[in-house]
Amino acid sequence: MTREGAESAPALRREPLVGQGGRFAIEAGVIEAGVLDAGVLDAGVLDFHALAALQKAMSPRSFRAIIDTFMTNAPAQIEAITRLIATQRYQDTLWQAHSLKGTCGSLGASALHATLCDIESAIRTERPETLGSLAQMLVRQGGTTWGALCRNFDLAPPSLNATALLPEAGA
Amino acid sequence: MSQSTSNSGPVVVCVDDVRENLLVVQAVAEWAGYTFYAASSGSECLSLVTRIMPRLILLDVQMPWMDGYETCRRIRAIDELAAVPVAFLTAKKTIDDLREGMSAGGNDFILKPVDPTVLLERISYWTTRRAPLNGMN
Repeated sequence: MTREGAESAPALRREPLVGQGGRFAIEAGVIEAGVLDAGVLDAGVLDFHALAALQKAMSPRSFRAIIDTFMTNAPAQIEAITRLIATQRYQDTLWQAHSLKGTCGSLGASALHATLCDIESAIRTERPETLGSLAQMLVRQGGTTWGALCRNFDLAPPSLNATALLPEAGA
Repeated sequence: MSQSTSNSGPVVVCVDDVRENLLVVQAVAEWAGYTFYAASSGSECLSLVTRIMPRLILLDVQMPWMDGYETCRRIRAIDELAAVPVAFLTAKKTIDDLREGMSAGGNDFILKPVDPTVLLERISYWTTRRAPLNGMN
């Protein structure tokens, strides 16, 4: 399953932006001309509809604070999930994945959200053999998501130190 | 527990053990003028709502120690809160989930991921009326 990369991203229109810091669009798929390449890449990682709806519904200060909080807390949650998978603590994994999934969904982190759904499903349907590769995907997408958020919100990337915790794919 | 600052609109309580989820609901509700209180657990909610008498309680379902359904049952056991609408804020959406929410005394389900427009519509709807005594609409 491919959720990252420019190959599968829809074509985007070059139109002026309305939005926080002028960096992302009020409508999905409308990316500032100067960051079009990043926008194409990020279209598979971030849900610009969700982000734009959120931005419209709150103060700029609150919006920024929520993005900052997510960027601060989510890496540790991803690390926790990979650690729990590595130690086969699947019920705890389920709980952690469910919590992070809701946040990712609300904040438009669509690639992470989809992988967390797959992790939940793998545990609920007793397919632990798929969790190793899903954990790897989660870590990769964490990095991709921070990159996308940093590009769009002028943030410094957080550290994600889960790689060492990853189980072998298919383990 | 956190409390909103200067708003004077109807009082809305949201209960969720995930801080980011509370922040999203708080930011949306406060920007629309509601007075907002947050609680991070069912027990914190129970201690809060008897003091502030909210117009609406938004309850996450999956929480540690006391889930949203149990929290709702305990809210409904308090006479003064019998007519306060309770909406579950959850990704759970099966028929069994709806049944359990209804039997616990809930009035609405607002699905996660939260769509701010839908959230505000539901908040507006429920803060302008009392909960029907027979549970969900």
